[in-house]
Amino acid sequence: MVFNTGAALLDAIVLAVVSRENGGTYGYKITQDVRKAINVSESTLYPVLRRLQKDDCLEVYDMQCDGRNRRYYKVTAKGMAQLNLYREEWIRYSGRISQLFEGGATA
Amino acid sequence: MNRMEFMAELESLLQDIPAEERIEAIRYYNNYFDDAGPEMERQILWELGDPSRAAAEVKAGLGERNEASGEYRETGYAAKEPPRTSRILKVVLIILIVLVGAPIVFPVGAAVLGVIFGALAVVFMIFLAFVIAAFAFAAAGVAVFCVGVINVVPEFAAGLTLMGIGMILTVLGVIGLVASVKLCVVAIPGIIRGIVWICRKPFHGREAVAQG
Repeated sequence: MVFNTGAALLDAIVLAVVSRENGGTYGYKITQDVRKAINVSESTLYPVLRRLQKDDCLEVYDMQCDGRNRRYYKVTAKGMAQLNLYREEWIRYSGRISQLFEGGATA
Repeated sequence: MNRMEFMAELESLLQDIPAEERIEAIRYYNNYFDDAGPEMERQILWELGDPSRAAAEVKAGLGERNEASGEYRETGYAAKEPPRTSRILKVVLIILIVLVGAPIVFPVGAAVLGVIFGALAVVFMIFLAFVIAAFAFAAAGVAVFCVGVINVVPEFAAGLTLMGIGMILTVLGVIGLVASVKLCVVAIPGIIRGIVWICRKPFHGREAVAQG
């Protein structure tokens, strides 16, 4: 990809991915889902998840699975508010950029 | 490198962060390998690459949340150099440099100024010396001519010789005087212009940069 993903956009993408799973989701799956949209390395998401957790945007809980504990992530109310903010910002931002690109094509 | 080796090295690389953070990160990566399954282990290890990269990302994530501090690129987290300068720090540093440097800079500066002034004085004195020498030549010529006139009655031949020598000396002196004065008229303003040009050069240079 030509464009680099800034920290805020990556936060937004992770929040969106986690929010799609009502029961919460886990690190490996989050990484796979994020990688459907943008190309991130396997080690990129841990700091993001950890930070979102510290900022109370994500909550974690452990659940037994195949005889071991699996850590699940879930979006908190604060996380949802943050995600909505990111969504609105993204619509405005991407809209303006798209307008510029389209305007450039017709001129 | 297998999973065990990767995890051991990652843990050793994370020894300098708080234990809670280390345990969290190790748990995450253990979970990650478990969830991916043994069949994916090789591919994940290959993609993760060196444990130092994962360790660096964990540590980078512990810092202040700052949009300017780095970017997530395709290749992972790319830390930007944090700006290390601040206004106050700069001012303090400048004061310190002045305090420490003053005992060296002032004497050296005074010495350099002294040498420059001395060199200029020497140049001016050389020209002045030409003028004085030519004037002295002419004056000596006049004096010798006078002595010749006085001596022409008792010793006619010697008097005439002295008068001749005096005239030659006077003419040579006058020619030298005219030449050296002309030299000064040409050279001294030239030297002054040169000095002014050298002194103004830094300012002109700065102006050129500012305009450019």
